[in-house]
Amino acid sequence: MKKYIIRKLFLFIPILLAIITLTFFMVRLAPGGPFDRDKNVPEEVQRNLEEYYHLDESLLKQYFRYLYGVIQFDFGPSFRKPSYTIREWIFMRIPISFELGIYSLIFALFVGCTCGVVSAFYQNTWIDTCLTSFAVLGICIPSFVIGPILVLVFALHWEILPVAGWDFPQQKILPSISLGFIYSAYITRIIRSSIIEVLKKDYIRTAISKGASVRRVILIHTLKGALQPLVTFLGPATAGLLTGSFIVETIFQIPGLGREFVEATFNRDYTMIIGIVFVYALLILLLNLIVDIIQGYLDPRISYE
Amino acid sequence: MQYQKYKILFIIISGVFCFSCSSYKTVNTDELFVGNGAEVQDLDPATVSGVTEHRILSALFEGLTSLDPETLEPIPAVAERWEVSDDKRFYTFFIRRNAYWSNGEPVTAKDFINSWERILSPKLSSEYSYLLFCIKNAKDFFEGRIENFSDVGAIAIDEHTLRVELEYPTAYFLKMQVHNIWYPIHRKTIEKYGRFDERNNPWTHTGNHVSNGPYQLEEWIPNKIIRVRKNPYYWNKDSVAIENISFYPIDNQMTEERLFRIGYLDLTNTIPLRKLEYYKIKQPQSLVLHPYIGVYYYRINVKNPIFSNPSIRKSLAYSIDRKQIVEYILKGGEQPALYYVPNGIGKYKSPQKIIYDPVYAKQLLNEAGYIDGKNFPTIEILFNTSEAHKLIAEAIQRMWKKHLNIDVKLLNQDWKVYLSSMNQLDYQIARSAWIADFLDPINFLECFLSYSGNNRTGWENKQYDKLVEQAYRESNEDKRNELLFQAEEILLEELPIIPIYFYTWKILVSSRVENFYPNVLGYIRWQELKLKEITENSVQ
Amino acid sequence: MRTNISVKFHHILPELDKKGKWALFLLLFIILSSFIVPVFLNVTYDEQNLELGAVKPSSKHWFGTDLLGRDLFIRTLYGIKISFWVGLCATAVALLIGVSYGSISGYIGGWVDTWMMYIVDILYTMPFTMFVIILMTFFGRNFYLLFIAIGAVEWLTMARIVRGKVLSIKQQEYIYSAKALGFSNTHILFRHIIPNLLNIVVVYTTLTIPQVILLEAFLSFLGLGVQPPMCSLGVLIREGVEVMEEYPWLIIFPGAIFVLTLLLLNVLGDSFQEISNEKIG
Repeated sequence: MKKYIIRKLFLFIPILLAIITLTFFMVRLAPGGPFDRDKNVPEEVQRNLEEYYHLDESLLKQYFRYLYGVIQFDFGPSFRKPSYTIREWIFMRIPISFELGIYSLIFALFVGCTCGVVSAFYQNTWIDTCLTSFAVLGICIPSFVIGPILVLVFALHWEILPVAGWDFPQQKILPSISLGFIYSAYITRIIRSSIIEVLKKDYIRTAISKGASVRRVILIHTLKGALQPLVTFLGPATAGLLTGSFIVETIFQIPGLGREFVEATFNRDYTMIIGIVFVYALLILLLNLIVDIIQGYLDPRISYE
Repeated sequence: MQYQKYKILFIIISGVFCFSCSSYKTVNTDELFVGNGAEVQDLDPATVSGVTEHRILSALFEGLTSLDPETLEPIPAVAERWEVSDDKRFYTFFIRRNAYWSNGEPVTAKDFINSWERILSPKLSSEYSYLLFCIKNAKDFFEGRIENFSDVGAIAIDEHTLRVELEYPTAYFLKMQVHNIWYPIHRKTIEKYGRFDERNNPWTHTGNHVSNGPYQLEEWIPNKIIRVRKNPYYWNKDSVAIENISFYPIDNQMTEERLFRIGYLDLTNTIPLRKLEYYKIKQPQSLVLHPYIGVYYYRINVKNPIFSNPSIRKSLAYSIDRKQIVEYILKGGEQPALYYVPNGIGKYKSPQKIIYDPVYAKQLLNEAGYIDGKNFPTIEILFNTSEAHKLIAEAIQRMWKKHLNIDVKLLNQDWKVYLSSMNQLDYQIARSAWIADFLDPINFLECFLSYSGNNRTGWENKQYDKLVEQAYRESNEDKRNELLFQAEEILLEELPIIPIYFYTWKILVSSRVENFYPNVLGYIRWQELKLKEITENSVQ
Repeated sequence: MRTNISVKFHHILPELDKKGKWALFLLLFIILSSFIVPVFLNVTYDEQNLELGAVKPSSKHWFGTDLLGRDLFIRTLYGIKISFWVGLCATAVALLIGVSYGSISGYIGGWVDTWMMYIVDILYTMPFTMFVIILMTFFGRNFYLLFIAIGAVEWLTMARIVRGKVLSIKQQEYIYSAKALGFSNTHILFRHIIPNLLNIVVVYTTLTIPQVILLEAFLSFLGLGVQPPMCSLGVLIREGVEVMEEYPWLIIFPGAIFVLTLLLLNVLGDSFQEISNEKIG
C-alpha cells in the first residue's frame, strides 16, 4: 500500500511537467500579450516591460527559467497584479474555493443521499417518479440558470438571503446550492440504482421477511453497497466542484480561484494562468489518489499492483 | 417525539433566516459602500492605468491641484496657490505647510519630483508615462538621452516650492493634475519594501501603504474589498464627512445592480443596460445619467482596398440611424455622435458634419461603382466580446443591409485578440472607443495623428497632422480651438472612423448620498460627499 | 457469429422501452421541426424590429420577441438547430478519436496498450475545462474550433470504453479464426471489430451529446460560444437570464426547450444503456 502511494506520487512529476509544458506553450501561442491595452502603450514602455518580465528572451529560455522557478515553488510575479507574486495570490484564493466546494459537496451528498434512499425505498410510487424526474432535470439545468433564479426568489423577492458576497454564513447558502445542485442529481441516481440493486439480493429479502426493520436494512446493508460507486463518482466530482465554480463565483461575487482563472485568461496573465492550472492539476491528482485508496479499503479485491 | 425534532429544526432554520434578514443593509452606518467594477491591479499611482484604480487612488492621494466636481475648474489641493508665467511654460506651485502624509510626515516638493522621476525611469515602465512628456526634457530622460533627472524641467526650489518648466504651453496642464500619474509618492515607504523603481513591490499592501489624500488604506483583501478610512493628517480633514469608504470589486454588473437594489451599495460602477428601464420608472432619484467625455465609434481600415475610397466610408457613416441605436438599444440618454469630439469640453464646439441620409448614402455608393450594393464584397465588423457591442453591431448590420444592400458579417473576439487584430490592422471595420485622459479636445484629436499609436486605421493626412501640431504650441485658447476645429473638419470629411454615439456616465447613487455632482469626467470628489441620516420609514 | 456478442443497431430500436420510444419520437419531432418550420414562416431568425423591442408572447409572436425585436420562436428553433449541430459534430470528433484510439489500443494490446491507456489516464487529470476556456479565448475566431475543442475533451471516456470492449471481442473465436485464415490486422480491425462496437457507440453518443450541449452553454455564458447573429440555445439562455426579471419569456421558452431536449437525450441514453446492459449482461 505504502509502496503504491509512493509510486503514484512519483508519477505525479511527469504528469505535472506535461501539464505545465502544455499550458506554457498554449498561452504563449495566443494572440495578444499581457500589456496590450485599449489605449496604445508607447513602444518604449512595452519594450521595457517585456525586458523586465524576461518576455524578450527566446521562448525556450523563458520556459526553462519558469521550470527552474517551479522547482523552487516559485511561479513568478503576476503581470496584472504587479505587487503580488503568483504564490501569494493563489494561496489567498484557494481556501475560498475549497470552502465553497466543500459546502456544495455536503449539500449534494445530503440531498442526493436522502432523495436516492427515499426514491429507492418507495420504488415505483409517485414519490419515486417525482424524485427521479428531479434527478434527471437536475442534470439538465446549468448552474448559470439556477444561480440567478435562486437569487431572484430568495434574495430579491423574499429578501431572506443575501444577494452576493462571502463573509457571513447566510451568504454561503445560495452559492453552495447552485454549485451542488447538479451533483445532488447525479448522486440521487447513483444511490437509487445501487440500493435497488442490493434490494433485489436474496439475503436482504430474507432479512426483511424475517421481520428486520426495513429502515435498518436499508441503512446498514444497502448503503454499504452504494458506497463504492459513490466514491468512484465523488473523486472526479470533487475535483469538478473545486474547479468548476467559475460561474457560481462570478454570479455570487466570491473571491475564489475560478473567477481569477477566467480573468487571468482574458488578461493574458501568463504566470497566473499556468499557476492556477498547476494547482488544479495537482488537486485532481491528489483526489484521484485518495479515491484509489478509499476504494482499496472498501473492496479488498482491488490490488495495488 | 419525531415531530418535536422537526419543530426544533424549523425554529433553527427560521432563526437563521431572520438573523440574515437584518444584517446586511447599509442604512445608517457612517460608511460609504461603493461598487467598483473589476479588481484593481495595484494601488500604486505610477503603475495603474484604469478607471477603477483611479477612483480609489483619488481617495487615497491628492495632487498639486484638484478639480471642482461641478465646474471642473482647477482648485487648490496640495498646492495652496500657483503662478503661471506669461508664455504659460513655467508653473510655480506653493505647497501648503499643513499637508501631511498618512504617517504624519510633511508632504514636500521633493515628493512630487520623486514620483515623477520614478514614473519616468525606464525600469518601472509606467504605461501612462507619456502624460509627463509635457515637462521639459522628460521624454529625453525616459528614453535615456539624459542621465540626470535634475536636467528635467521639474525643480524643488525649496521644501514647499515646486517649479515646473514645460516643453510647450500645455493648456490643460492644471486640469491634468487630477490624474493619478501626477500624485506624489512617499519614497521611504517604497524603499522599505523593495526597490524604488520596480513594479514588483508590496508597499501597496494592507499596513504598508502611505498616502497623502483625504483617506488612507485600511485593508485591501484582493477580489473582496478595499477599505479606506479618514486620514487623520489630511490638511483639510475637518471637511471630510465620511469616516470610511468600502470599495467592492464587483465585475458582474447584474450582481452589482442587485446589491444596490437591496441596499448593500450606495454607489455603483455602472448599471446594466437592461435595468435602465426599471430605474427610470421605479427609482429615478437613484439613477444618474450624465454626458461623459467618451465617444463610441467604428474604425475603418483604410488600407483595405474596399475602404480606400472616402465616399464609401461616407456612405457607410451616413446610413447609420444613430437615433434608433441610442433610443432603442442603449436607452441611457446617450447622444448620437454626428461629430467626433463630444461637447462639454471648455468652449470647444465640434463641426456638425455627419448626417443620417440613407438616400444620399446609397447615391454615394452607386457613384463609387456599386449600383444597389452589387458586387460589394461582404464586409466584417470586429468587436470585443460584450453584449452591448453585439447588439449595436447587429443593428448596424441590418441598417447597412437595408439602406445599402451590402452584406455584413460580425466577428467577436476576446479583448486581447481584438486588440492585437486592431494593432496589426487585421480587420475591416472595428468597434472602438475613446475615453479622454484629460479634459481637452486635443486628447481626442491627437489619436489620429499619422504617427500616433492610437490611430490604428492606417489613415494619414499631412494637413491634419500640421493643424494638431500647431495646436500643441498655441497658447491662445480661441486660436487653438479654431485649429482643432479645422482638424476635426478634415477628420469628418475623410471619415477613417464612423462616430456612433457619445457615452453617458451611468451609475446608481443611493438617496442617502449627498453633495454628489455628476460631471463629464466621471470624477467623484470623495472628501466632499456626505451621508444623510435615513430612518427606516423613509427608505420604504 | 458476430451477433452473439453484440447487438446491432436495428435490433435496439424495437426493444426500446416505452420511455425511450417516447423520448426518441419527441426528439425527432423537435429536430425535424427546427429544420422544417422555419421554411414556412416568413421571418428569419435575425430580422430585427428595433422600435418594437421586447414584447410579450402573442398570436403574432408565439414566444414573444427579444430586445432587438426579433421573433423568439424562430430564434429558438434556430438555436435548437445550432445546438444540435455543435452537439453532433463535437460528438463525432470525440467518436472519431475515441473509437480509433480505443480500438487500436485494445487490439494491439501489450505494452502499447499499457502506454496508450496511461496517456489517457494522464489526460484525465488535465483540467480540461480550463484548456477549453484557454483555447476558446485565444483562438475563438473559428466556429469549427468550438466543437473540435469540445470533442477533444469528450473522447477520453469513449476511448476507455471502446478499449474494454475490443479486449473482450478479441477473445472471441471468430477473431482467432480470422487470424488463422490470414486476414490482415487492418481487415480484422475494420471489418470485424469496429462494426461490433456499434451499440456501445450509440449508447455513448446519446449520452455525450447532452454533455456537449451543456458545455457549449457554459462557454456561451463566458461569451465564448458561437458567434452572433448565430445563436445556440446556450446563447439564448444566457441572454434570457440577464433580463429574466423584466422579460421572463426570454428565459422561459428557450430554457424549457433546452431542459426538455437534454432531458429527452438523457432518457434515450438511459434506455439504450439498459438494453445493451441486458444484452451483454
